Amino acid sequence: MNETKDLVRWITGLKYNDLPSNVVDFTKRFLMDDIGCMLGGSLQLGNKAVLRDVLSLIAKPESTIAVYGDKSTASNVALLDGAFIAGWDYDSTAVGGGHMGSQTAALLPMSETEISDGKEMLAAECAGIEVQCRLGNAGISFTRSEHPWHSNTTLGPFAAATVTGKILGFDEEEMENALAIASGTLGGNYQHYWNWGSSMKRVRCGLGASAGVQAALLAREGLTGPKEVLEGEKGLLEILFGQTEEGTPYYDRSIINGDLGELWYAPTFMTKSGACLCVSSGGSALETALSLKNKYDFSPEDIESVTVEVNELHTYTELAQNQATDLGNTPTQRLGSSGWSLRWMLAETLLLGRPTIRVQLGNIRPYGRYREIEELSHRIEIKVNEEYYKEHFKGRAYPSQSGRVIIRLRDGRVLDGEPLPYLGQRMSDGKVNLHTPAQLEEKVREQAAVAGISTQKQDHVIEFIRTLEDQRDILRLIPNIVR
Amino acid sequence: MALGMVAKPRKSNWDFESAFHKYNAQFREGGVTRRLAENVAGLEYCDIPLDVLELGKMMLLDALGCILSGSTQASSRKALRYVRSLGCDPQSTVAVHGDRTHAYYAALLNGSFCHAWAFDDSLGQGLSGEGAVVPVVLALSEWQMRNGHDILTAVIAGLEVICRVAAAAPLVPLKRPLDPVSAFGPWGAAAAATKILGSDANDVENAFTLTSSQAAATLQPIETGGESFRLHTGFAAMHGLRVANLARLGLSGAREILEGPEGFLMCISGIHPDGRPKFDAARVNEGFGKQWILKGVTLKKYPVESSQLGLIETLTRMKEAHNIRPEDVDEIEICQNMGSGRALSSSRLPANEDLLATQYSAVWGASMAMVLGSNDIKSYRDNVPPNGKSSEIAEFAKRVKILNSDAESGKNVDLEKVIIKLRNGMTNEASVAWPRGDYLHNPMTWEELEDKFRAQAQLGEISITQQDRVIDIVKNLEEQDDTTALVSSLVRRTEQQ
Repeated sequence: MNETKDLVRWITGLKYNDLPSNVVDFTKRFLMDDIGCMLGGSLQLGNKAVLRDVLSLIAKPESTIAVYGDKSTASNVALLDGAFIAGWDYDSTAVGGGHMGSQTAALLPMSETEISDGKEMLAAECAGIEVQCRLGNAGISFTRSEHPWHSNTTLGPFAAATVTGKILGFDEEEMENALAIASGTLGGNYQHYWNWGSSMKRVRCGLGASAGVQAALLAREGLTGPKEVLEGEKGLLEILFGQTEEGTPYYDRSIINGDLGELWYAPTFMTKSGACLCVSSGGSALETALSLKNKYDFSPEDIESVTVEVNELHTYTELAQNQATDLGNTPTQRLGSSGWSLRWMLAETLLLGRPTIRVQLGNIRPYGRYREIEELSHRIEIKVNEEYYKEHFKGRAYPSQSGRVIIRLRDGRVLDGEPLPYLGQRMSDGKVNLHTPAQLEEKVREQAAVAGISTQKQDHVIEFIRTLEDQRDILRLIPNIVR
Repeated sequence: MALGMVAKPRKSNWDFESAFHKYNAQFREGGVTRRLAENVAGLEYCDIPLDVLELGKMMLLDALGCILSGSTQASSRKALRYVRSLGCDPQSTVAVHGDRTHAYYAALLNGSFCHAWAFDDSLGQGLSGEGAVVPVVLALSEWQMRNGHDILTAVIAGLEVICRVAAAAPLVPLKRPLDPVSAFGPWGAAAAATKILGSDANDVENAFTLTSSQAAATLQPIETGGESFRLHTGFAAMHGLRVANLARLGLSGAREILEGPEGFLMCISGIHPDGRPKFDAARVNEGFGKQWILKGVTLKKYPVESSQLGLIETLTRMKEAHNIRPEDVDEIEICQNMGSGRALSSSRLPANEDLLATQYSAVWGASMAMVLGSNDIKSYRDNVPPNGKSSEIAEFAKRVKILNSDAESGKNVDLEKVIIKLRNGMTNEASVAWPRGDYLHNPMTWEELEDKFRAQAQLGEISITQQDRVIDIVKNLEEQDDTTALVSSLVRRTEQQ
C-alpha cells in the first residue's frame, strides 16, 4: 500500500534529463496541440460565460488569459485556459487518461507565475500526463464502468496538482499533500453524451486544472491531506471504479507505479482532426462523405437520404440519431451539442465542407445556413451493420468506430463510400493514424488564425514549443498567445 | 537519448454501456432534475411551515457558531493565507478575521470554518449541510443586499435540496466511500445561491447540471487523516455559488443530470448489470414542500462524527450518575447495531497531532468522556496526542471494546447499549437513546443552542455584546432588511474598535 508515496517520489525526482527522446517529442506534441486548441476554444460560446465570470472577479494579476490577454490568479487562468483547450473537443487524449488538457492548463499560468524554463516545463507537463494516464489506466474505461465519471474532473485535478507542484519545486511531503487535497474536488459525468447542453462538458477541463492548482497552492500554505489517497480503502480508485458485488475491484493498483520511468504514456498521444467531438467515433463517416461529395459533385438538394453504417453498437450510434433535432434553446446550448451529433455534423459537412470552427460558429441556429443543415440532418440515418465490416474488409484494418456512407440521390444513383481513416483516429487493429508534427503545426495555425493570432505570433509559438528545452523562460511564449 | 517503452491500454471484461441503455429504456424516471429546479425556483417564504422556519433559524445560528469556532482551526488559518494571497476584490466578509474578499472565496473560507470542528449539523450518514449552505447565503446576501426573508428561504431551500439528493442516493448501504458533504453539499449550495440570485427554473436547472462537475471527494481522511477534510464543505460552498453565477451568466449543461443514464446518481450509486439502478431518483421530489426531510437533522452536542453522539452522551450520564472514575473501570463494551446501517465511525486510535482522528474515533471519544468527563472543542484541541492527558486517554482506550450486534432491532439508532464493567465486579448497563439535538426525537432547546453558540463564539473571541446581537438577529431574522448588522457582529473586534 505505498502507491501514492512511490508515485510522489517519482514525480518529485523527475528531471528533464530522465525523459527519453520519444517522451520529450510527444510531450511537446501534447503542448503544441493543447495550445492550438486553447486558442481556437476561446471562441466557443459557452466559454464566454466563464470569461465573464473570471473578468468580473478582480484578483491578483499574476497570469495571462490566452487570446484575451487579461490577467488574473493562476487558478482562474487555469480555469479559463482549460475550458478553452476543451472548447471544441478538438484536443488530445492518451491511453488511460481519457479527456486531458488540465495539465497544460495548469502549466501555462503556473510557469508564468514562477518564470519557469523550458526543461522545467517539459518535466512538469510529462509528469502531469503520466499521473493522469496511470490513474485512469489503473481503472477500466470510464464509459464501461458502473460509475461513469468524467476524466477531466476526476483525473485532471491530480494532473494539474502534479504540474503545479513540479513548477513550485515541491518536496515529497508537499506533493503528497497536493494530490491528497485534490481528492476533495472531484466530480463530473458523461450525461452530456445523452442530450443537449454540453457546454459544461468543455469547462470541466478548466475546472480540473483550477482545482489542481488550488490544491497545490493550499499544500504550499502547509495544509495537509490524507495519506494513501490513491490506493487507500476509501481512496480515489475505490470511489471512481469501485468493486463488483462479489468484491472484485474494477481497478488494478499496480498500474499506478508499474515500470515508472521505463514505461511511458506520453507517446500514446492521440488527437482529433475535426473540431467536434463526434470525430472520435464518427470522423470516418465525415471523411467518407466529404470524399463522395468531392468525387461525384452533387449538391445537397440532390440528396434523397444518407445512411451511415457503423460496425458496433456505441453510445453515439443511438444518441447521434436524436441530437439533430434536440440541440437546446440558445445558440450556446446548440453549439455545445451540435459537435456531439453525427447527423448534424455530417449534414454540415455535406453542405459546407469540413466542419471547422468558423463553419460551426457561423451556422448554428439562428445563424447562417442552419435551416438547411437541420433539414438535411433529418434525411440521415445511422445504423449498425457488422456483417459489412466482416465481409468487406476480410481482416484488413478499418477505422475503429467506422463509417460507411451510402448516399441515395434523387436521380436514382446510390453512392457507396468505404469508411476512410480519419487523421488521429484509432484503427480496428489498434494502430493510430497519427498527425505528423507538420500536420499538428497546421492544426495550431488554423485555430490560431481563427482566434485572431497573427502569423508572426503563430511562428513564434510553434518555434517556442519545438525548441522548448532550450527556452530560458515562458515569458517569450505568453505575448504570442494573446491577440 | 534512448527511447522509452510505450504503455498499452488495458482490456476489460466489464461493459456497462449496454446496462446504461437498459436503464434508460426501462427504469429511468424522467424529469427529476427539471422538477427539482422548478420546485426550488418556485419555493417562497410563505410556503414554508412555521416549524420549518424555526428550524431554519436554529440551523443558521448553529452554523454561525461553528463558523466562529472553526476559524481558530489550523486548517482555517492556512486556507485564509491562501485566499489572502489571491488579492480579490472586497465583496463579502470572512467571519472573525474581517477580511473582505470575493464572494466565492468568502464562501470557501466560511464554509471551511463551519466544518472545521465537525461540530456542524448531521443530516444522517455522515452528511452535514450547514457548512455548504449558510456561507453561500451569507456571502451572496452581503453582496446582493438581501433581506431576512430571502436569507431564511435560501437556507431552508439549500438544506432541503441536500437532504433530498442524498435520500435518493444513500452511500452507506452501498459501501461507497465518498464524502457525503462533498457529494451532496454542492447541490444545496447551488440551490441556496440561485434563491439569493433570484434565478428562474432554467437557471436553477443549469446550475444543477454544472454542480455535478465538482460533487465528489474521497473519504480517505477518515482512514489516514489530513486537514483538507475540513475544507470539503468550503469547496462545496464555493463550487455551488460559482455554478449558480455561471448559470446566470449563460453557461448550460446536459439535461437530466441527476437521473440520466450517465448522470450524477449513476456515478454515486451505480447500476446493476441488468439496468436496475442502485438509487431511487423519485425520492428527490417526493412530497417537496409538504414533507421536509430537513427535519431529520441532528444539531450536535459534541464536535464528533455523528454516530458517536449518543454514545458519549450515555457514557457521560453514566459516569455522573454512578460517580465512576477512570481507574474504577475494568472494561467498556459498546454494542453497536449493525442493522441500523450506521456503524460507529472508527475504532482507530489517533497518531500524534492527528486531531481529525480523535474526533472520528469512537473509542477515543468514549475514553475522553470517561477520563476527562468532557468532549467539548477545547478538550479535543488540548488533548490531541501527545498533548494534555492524551496518554491517559490512549491507555484507557485499551479497555474499550466495540461489539457488533447481530440483532436487527429495526430502530434507527447507531448503538443499542453500553456496558461498563467495574473492577469491583459491578456492571452498569444503559441503552443508548436518541442523542440530544436529534430534532425529531430529542430536540435541543433554543437555550441549549444559544449556549452552544456562545461557547463557540467565545473561542472565536467574539464579544458577549456581539453574541447577543447575533442571537437576536437570527431569532428575528424576518425583520432584517440586509445582512450588515449580522455580518459585522461576526467579526472579532479589538478593544479600540
